Amino acid sequence: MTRLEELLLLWQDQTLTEDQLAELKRLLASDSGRAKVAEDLFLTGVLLESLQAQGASRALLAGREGLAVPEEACAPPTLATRSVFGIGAMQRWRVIGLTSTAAAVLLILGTILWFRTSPTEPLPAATAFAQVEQVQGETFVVSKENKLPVQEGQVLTPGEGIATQGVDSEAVVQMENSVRLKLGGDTTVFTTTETEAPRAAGAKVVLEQGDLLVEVTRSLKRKRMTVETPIGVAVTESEDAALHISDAAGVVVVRGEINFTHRPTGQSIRVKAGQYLAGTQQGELYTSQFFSGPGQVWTTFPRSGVGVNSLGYSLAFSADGETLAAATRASESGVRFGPVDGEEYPQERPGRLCVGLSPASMPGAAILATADQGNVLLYELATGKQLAALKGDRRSPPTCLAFSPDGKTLAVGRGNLRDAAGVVEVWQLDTGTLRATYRGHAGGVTALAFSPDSKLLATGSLDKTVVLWDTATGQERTRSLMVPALVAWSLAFAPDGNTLAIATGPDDFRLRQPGDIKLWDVATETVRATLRGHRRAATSIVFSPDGKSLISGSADTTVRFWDTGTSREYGMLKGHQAAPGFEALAVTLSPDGKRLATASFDRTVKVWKTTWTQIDGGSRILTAQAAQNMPWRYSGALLTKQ
Amino acid sequence: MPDRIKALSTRFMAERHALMGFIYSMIHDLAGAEDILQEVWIRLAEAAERGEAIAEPGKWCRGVAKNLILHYWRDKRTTKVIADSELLDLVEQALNEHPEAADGRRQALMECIDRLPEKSKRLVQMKYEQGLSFAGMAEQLQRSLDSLKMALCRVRQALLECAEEKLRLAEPNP
Repeated sequence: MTRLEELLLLWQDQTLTEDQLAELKRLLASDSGRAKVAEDLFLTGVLLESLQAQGASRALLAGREGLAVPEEACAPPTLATRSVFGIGAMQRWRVIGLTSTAAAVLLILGTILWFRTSPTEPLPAATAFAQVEQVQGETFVVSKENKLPVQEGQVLTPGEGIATQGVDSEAVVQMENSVRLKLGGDTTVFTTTETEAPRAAGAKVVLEQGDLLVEVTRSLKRKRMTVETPIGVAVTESEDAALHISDAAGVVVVRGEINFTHRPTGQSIRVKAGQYLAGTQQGELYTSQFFSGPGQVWTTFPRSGVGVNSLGYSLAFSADGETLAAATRASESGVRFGPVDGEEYPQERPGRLCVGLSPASMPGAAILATADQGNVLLYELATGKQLAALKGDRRSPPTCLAFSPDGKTLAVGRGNLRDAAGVVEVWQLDTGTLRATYRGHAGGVTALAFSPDSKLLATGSLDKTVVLWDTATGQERTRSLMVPALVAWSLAFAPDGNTLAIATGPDDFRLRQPGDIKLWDVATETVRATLRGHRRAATSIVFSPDGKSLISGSADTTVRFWDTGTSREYGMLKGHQAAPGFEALAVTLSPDGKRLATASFDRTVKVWKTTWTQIDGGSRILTAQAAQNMPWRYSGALLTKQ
Repeated sequence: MPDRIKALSTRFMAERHALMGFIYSMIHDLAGAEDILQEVWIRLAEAAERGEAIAEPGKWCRGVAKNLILHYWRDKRTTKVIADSELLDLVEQALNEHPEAADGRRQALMECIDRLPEKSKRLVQMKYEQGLSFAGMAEQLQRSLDSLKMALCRVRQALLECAEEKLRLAEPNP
């Protein structure tokens, strides 16, 4: 490593001293020094870009290996390398002799160490055999008796397992050169010595808990890979397969094909590449389409606004579908709004927590509403000019807001403090006056939704109730306690107004409690159907324009697409770098359904271009993919692994 | 989009890597660097819309980036020694003298990065994605500072050599 290279590394590391800074400047006074720094910065820029590009795919598939990084590169000149230039032939032979002797000694020592740490009996060819290739964070070799820290290169004997501890921990285990296991955080996997039936002969692992990517390459030939999980057994049915088993998405087949047998019911189902395993409330298994990808980053907030018990992002499309607005809880950020597509950078204005855009029915220019310091701010959407500030109590800040579809009023939910009562304010937009205040929630208001005719306002709260208000009289029409007792994090009326969708979940997203979505019949005031699939709180919902599909975001880091007729999920989108249990994924759909926006823990707001297909009289999302990237979108958020 | 802005956009895209590396190295904050890069683009587009004559867009962008970096330093009141305005000028000069060439080098590097061994990728991620210091990496990986510096230097060197080789092989035979 040259001195300049070292100083450039220290510079990037922020550990440059004053003297070293002066030295760096001296070196940059030369042409060669400046050429080197230009090359160095270019490489850094490309590295940063590649990290972003790898973001989503890295979560599922480890990269291919192939480029050798030579040990001698950057090394200070050694005796052996110097000899070529400055030492005579005899000395060179002496150096070669010495290094050969040293290598031989090391080889012998290594061999002794190998036999001391390896099992004395050779492993039977058919048993699972694994070697730890890579570890990060707290990782252990576990057996029935022991739990010891693991080292890279360590061999796992049959019956031993490997466990990662903590969300940042991970491990890569290579089995028989044909199966690669990648363990995420808080994961435990055991190898096994069980004798396999001839049909299933091959490698086998038992996943006790956590997040596991299994990659099988062609070299396994016709042997099968078996992965036992707490809910069932997956067996590969193709020579080249990859499956991902996670807390967030369940069983997803990335490559090839598997056969999955559900342990409680004994049902078996084939799952192909690009599909994931879903199940009905009655226990019937089915497969649905899995979407993933980096998406188009519409904007990146400087700080993540999500927490373990609050909605972090708020999104809204304009009535014409051409403008998107986003707000976050993070105090340093402003509300952002701008074209969904195209190359115009979103504008930013003071505002946070929540955002809403006026409906087409409202006369005059389109308005953006957001919150700031307890007040609600109204901006003209086209110019970003502030039109009004609707004053409110700073101690009970706005948590959510909604324009009535008739464009006459704006509802504002307040009170995110757990011990404070929640109130709903209804503001008259043409006069800018407070028309009514609805009291009755014992906890902060979490969600609002107007019925399409603006006659009803549904409100959800931390008090675990959903109330339907008559907007003409300001009276409660009905109050429902969520059963089980869960918070209604998001509400949406179907376009026909007959159904209210209620996204529920525990008030702590870290709890591994599934978040159900209830389809509540407004006329009969009963739950018509319950959509089950999310593994944690459902935090955001939106209906498709025809009401046949429902799209939901969840703290389990997934977006799911539901058929409201059959109550089955027909698709799952995983497109953010995410942290299960530490986020509230927000979703919204443009009025024409052609753009889906999502916002997540990774600080990004992404826009997905959707295509739809007609099935059984209803429309379904067929694809969700990134629209064209904008030129300045250098990188998405770069936080945690999936 | 007007042709003029489209042409600038293409040029900006082609030369953005060294600019991003420049900004990132000066502030060592990825989110901040992204914001500055975006701001540079906005100002470039605005200037083009106003009809300003920009003979050398790359140089123009570096000048704007330099000003924004100075603003960033002022706002953050950073106490760590990262750089000073003299170094900023020298690095700007270096990039003006050696602008990013549109010769497929970026693509070659991307392919080489994709082929890095997992261990090397991990190092790169820790350093540039997670923004860890060498000290932080050393603690996580239980390795010495020097060995990590050496390892990262090796990775960078290997990438440059790999890209050179790819470009050499791509050259048409005489």
